[in-house]
Amino acid sequence: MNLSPGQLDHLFQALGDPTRRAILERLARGPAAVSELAAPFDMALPSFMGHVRRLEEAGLVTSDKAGRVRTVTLVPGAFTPVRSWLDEQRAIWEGRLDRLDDYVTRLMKERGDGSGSQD
Amino acid sequence: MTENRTMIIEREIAAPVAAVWAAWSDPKALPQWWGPDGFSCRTSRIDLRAGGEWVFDMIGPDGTVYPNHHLYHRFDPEGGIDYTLLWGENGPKHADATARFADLGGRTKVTLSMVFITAEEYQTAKGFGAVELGLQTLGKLAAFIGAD
Repeated sequence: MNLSPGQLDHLFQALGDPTRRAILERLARGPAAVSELAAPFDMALPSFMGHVRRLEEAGLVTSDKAGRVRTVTLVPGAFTPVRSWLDEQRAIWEGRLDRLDDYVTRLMKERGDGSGSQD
Repeated sequence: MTENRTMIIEREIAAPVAAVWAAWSDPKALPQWWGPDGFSCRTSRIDLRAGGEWVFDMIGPDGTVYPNHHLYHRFDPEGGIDYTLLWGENGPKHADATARFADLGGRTKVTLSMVFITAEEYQTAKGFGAVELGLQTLGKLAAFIGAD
């Protein structure tokens, strides 16, 4: 996994908040203006913009201002490090079960041989 | 929200529960297969029972040492194993994990579950309270952004 130091930290921090996850879920359906994104939340606009900034810092979203409207867009591939980390964890545990299987099978064979039984 | 951070892996092993259990509960056997591949386990203390623990280093192929500490809350073949994985002796929590062993008549279905707390989450949790990682949400997003 090629991660700059702290990149995964930023991602997990950005994802560790229900407001920010809700923003991402909305953006999964397509880009949205900040005013539209903020509408469902009972929150002052500066606080809401703080959440958007955190998502931008984590590289999860970008935003562009055209006139008075700031539009926020999800960044393709931004979740890859999180997914990679989880895939790594899965691979470690799958490997562990492989070795458990091998170990038990070998033990069974040795015991089988020892007692003279046949496969 | 913990169900969204839970990873579940199942495997059928062509051996009775007693044989699979022996591989988990024998302090000489467990370190032999715990791995990961290419890693070896160097045990400091091992006491495989409910209320027991395993303090050990996993040593990587390049010699890097990864200290580990397991705390066993439940440890019997019928009920299975419930334990907590720590980063190093009495270190921060990495995961809560369980192992269950189902008798399939000469075969055994092993079900592992892990509720992960990443090192990053641990750092984060100190500043931001409990961290929830919505994997289902991530899956949806990943599908949208074509990462699948």
